[in-house]
Amino acid sequence: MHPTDALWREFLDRESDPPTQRRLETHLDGCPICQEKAATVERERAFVAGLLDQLNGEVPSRSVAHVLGRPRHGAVRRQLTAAAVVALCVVAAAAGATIRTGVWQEVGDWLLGPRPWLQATPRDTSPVIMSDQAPASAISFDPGGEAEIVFAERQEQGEIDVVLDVGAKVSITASAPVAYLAGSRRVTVANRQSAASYLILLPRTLRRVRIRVGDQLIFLKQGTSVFTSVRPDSRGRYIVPFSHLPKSTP
Amino acid sequence: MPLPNETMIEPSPTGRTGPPLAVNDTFDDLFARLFRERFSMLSRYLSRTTGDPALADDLAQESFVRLHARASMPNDPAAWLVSVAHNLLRDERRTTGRRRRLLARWHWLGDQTQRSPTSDARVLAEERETAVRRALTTLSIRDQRLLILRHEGFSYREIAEALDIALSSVGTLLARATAALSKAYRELPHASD
Repeated sequence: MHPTDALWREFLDRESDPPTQRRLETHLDGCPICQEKAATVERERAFVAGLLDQLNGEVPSRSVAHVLGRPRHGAVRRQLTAAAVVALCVVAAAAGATIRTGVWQEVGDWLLGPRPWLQATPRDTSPVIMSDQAPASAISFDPGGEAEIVFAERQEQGEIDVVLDVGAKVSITASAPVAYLAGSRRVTVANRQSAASYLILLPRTLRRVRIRVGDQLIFLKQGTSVFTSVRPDSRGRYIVPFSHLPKSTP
Repeated sequence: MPLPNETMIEPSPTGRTGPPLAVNDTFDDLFARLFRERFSMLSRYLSRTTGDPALADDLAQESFVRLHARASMPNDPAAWLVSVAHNLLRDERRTTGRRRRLLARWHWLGDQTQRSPTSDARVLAEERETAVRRALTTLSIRDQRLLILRHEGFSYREIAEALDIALSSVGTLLARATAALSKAYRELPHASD
């Protein structure tokens, strides 16, 4: 009795359990009919693989995971946060991203005075060691022509400040540690249970950018036009408090 | 005004095997490793399934965000991610209409995106892809997903879990779907090998 095509498919896919794999190998060695059958199954498999390769499997994002420790209580939280941030910086530095450290105090300075992070910084590939006292985290990246920033959840507190900037990079600075998942055109801020506020600097030259909170689109820049539900303040900031957003399910 | 050249973040080395997990590996360690090993696979699978690389990237990211929010590893993380991605794709298709209505409230000056010129090779590639997609549509959604999941390297166990089918039937279903797609493609007019 000869094995079925399905069994040969499992065999060729190396998905048979070891005893079955050995049994089929032995059978194959001595059975010309099954040698032809297995060859046919393999040809069909290769043909279909060639067809499926015609489908666009382009992966536009060469992504790395920027993962920070989740908020935990007490000393363990600080240690894990520091360790996770170091891991973040090592991973991101290896990937070529630029990680900026900052504290919310600096954000205040920026609002009232000089803006240190508008200065161009060389690409730094060495790990950045952060103090476990650092209350803020940031990410910056070159977006190309388009970018999308998505906050996974609507927070009960905090706000999103959006500023159109003269720099070439998109940067997001949070007032408290938060996890980012970054792609070539999209960054997701995993802000579950966070109360952080965020400063987002967008290059004026960016052709198109969308900022969403869950399913809610809160900011859209298309060419030189900006569409948002809030008016810019006297300094050109678009400030969107999370509490002003409807409590829709993302 | 010309935009700065996009600077790509190079991927970390990926592979099905990596350094062994330590006994005390945290969820974040597991998550980071899973991301390195599986994000591209998931993204490619979704890209081939949907025909929309940008949507695929979004869905893949969203799936990992959901896993991160879950804060604990499911029994079969790869299969879990595929299942979540399928649900997100279904929801995305439902909400596309809602989003269009949301944007309709705002003033829109038109699309300023520049389209790149097409080349003969690109046209040919698009025609081939169209032909393969036509052949694929003769199969059930389950069989389409089965073939593409396997093509991207998901194991039989992961496929069974993701598609909610018996592990023992994956080989049979794959063999049938392979034969069906091959036949459907060859029967297309002007199809070529």
